[in-house]
Amino acid sequence: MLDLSWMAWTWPTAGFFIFILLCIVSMGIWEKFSPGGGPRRGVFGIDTTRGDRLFISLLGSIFIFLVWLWAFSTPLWGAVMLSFIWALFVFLRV
Amino acid sequence: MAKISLQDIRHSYLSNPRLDVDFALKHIDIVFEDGGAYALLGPSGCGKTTLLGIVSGLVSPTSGRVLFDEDDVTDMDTIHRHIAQVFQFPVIYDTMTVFDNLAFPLRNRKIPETDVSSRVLEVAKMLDLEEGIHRRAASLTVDGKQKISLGRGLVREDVNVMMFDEPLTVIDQNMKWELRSKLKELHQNVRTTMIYVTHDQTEALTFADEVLAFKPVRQLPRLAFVLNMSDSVSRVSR
Amino acid sequence: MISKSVKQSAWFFVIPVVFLVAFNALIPLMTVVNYAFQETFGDNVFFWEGLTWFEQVLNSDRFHDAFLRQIMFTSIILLIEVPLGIAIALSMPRKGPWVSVCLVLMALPLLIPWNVVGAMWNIFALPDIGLLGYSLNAIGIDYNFTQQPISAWITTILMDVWHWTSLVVLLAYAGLTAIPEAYYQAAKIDGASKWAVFKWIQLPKMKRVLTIAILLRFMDSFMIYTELIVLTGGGPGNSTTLLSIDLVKLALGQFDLGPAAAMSLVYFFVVLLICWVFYTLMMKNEQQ
Ligand SMILES: Nc1ncnc2c1ncn2[C@@H]1O[C@H](COP(=O)(O)OP(=O)(O)OP(=O)(O)O)[C@@H](O)[C@H]1O
Ligand SMILES: [Mg+2]
Repeated sequence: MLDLSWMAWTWPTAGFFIFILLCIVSMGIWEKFSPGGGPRRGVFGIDTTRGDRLFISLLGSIFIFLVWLWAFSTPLWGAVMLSFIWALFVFLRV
Repeated sequence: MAKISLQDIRHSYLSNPRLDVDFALKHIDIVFEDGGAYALLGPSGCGKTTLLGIVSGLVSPTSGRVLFDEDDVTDMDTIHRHIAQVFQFPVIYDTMTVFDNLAFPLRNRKIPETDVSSRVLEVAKMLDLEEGIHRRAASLTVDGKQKISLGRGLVREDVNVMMFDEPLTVIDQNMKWELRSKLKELHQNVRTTMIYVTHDQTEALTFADEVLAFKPVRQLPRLAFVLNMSDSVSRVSR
Repeated sequence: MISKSVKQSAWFFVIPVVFLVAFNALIPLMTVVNYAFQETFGDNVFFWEGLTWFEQVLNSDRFHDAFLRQIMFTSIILLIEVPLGIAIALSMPRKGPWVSVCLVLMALPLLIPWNVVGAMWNIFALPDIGLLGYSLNAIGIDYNFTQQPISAWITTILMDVWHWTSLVVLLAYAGLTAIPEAYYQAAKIDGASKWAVFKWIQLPKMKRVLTIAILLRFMDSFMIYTELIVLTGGGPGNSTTLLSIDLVKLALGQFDLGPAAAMSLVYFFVVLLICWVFYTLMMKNEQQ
């Protein structure tokens, strides 16, 4: 067996990757049962598919977290809320 | 407007041609009278495009002279020859709108903007391009694009000659007929010299007052490129 | 609307790439994420630290300074290399025997190992023995890149321009040669000036390759390390300590793996964001 202890896994970080993986898998399932079709033009004037929207949501959330951490430090509940609002906005309007 | 004479033109794309077969145009002597409508007819590869290039200055002949009226223009560049030429396949400026594409040849020659716009609209109307004239040219279909190419050839009024190099190849049948009659009509109205290249006989005969047919001289069936040696041009007048 | 036809067997051919990406990108990236939340003193012993390192990095002046220097460096080299690269590509012959000569000359700087580039410029610019340094001082310009931050910056930028403009040139040249002759002929008939030809034919047709060139130069300039460490070592002082150099100082110099990991993540997200924004903007006008 490979010794992967150098990767220094912890539950919270593993949880983070599992969350990303679940997002991708559920996007796949969603696409299978109700295809999202081609790209659409959103409020920013860019064409996005569902996958693009997931990417924008995640990348945007990361920056929400970073800025929150920089400005208000922990706890991060506010950033979590904002990220959800951001993701919702991206999926509905962008 | 001018009478165009090609005197003893020879052209080869090779840097030092020796044999006759090296020449794309072996020996050309033609006069295009001012205001005539000519068709150049000939098989593929016989040098029709090359001939147009020599008239427009895109190709400079290996030997021989090109005269506009009495002026020797053999060494004059394309811009100063005041000619319009439409190519076989559409060439458009993708990032411009249809309107700007059509206006381009006029704006480059510093024509006042009011004249530009009236002229462009006139041509657009003739070619049925008015709808979506302010859209990006890249969004058009291939016949739309070819119509733009054609339009850029037609917008200028001061040209010595308009040359069309198989302009309707990519355009569908019905439209072809319509556009051809429009060109014919245009010729009757403005009386600019027009040279129309095609390898379709009916097309040549419907368009032109005079058909110039390239014919290969010696037929050596084994060598396909012998067809290039169009050393005589026959005239068919109606 | 585009109807998608999915061929399942196609996935089979992607497997090697998936493995490659997993081993050289995904696993290291995951490891960096893991490190960013922990403290270690070696021997694979880790202690959970939560968000400490991120807070530390985000609030550290050292990171801010390195980041600003990086942005400045990247902007300057892009502003020089892209226009210069296009200009050189435009002046290269399109056909004839000189084409291969030019291409080889252009490719040369790209073929030189990066540490050699650094060493070459270091020696070239030394104020007492280097050709450049010595001649500048000889004509009365006070130049010493080991002492003066400004000189160090100028030398660094010159080196990067010398090393990487070729990449822009080669890409732009590839874009230029792909333009059919008919476009130039039509432009002549239409009476277009040289500038009009550039603006309406050459630039639009080069747009895609230029996008790639700019993205590559952007990302590579964010990664610049080898040449710079050999040339200036980040000095004098911290004046040319760009992000990668700072990162390595932190990770290996001080063995602060946790903070270094947090810093590299922040840095990764910034690169990702800028690339995404840039790419989206460049491609936005494409379909209309
Ligand atoms: N740029 C070029 N370089 C070398 N040879 C060329 C070039 N352009 C044309 N030729 C050759 O010159 C000959 C005449 O070509 P040209 O394009 O004038 O023929 P054409 O009558 O217009 O043919 P088509 O009906 O196919 O358009 C052909 O044998 C062609 O291969
Ligand atoms: Mg032809």
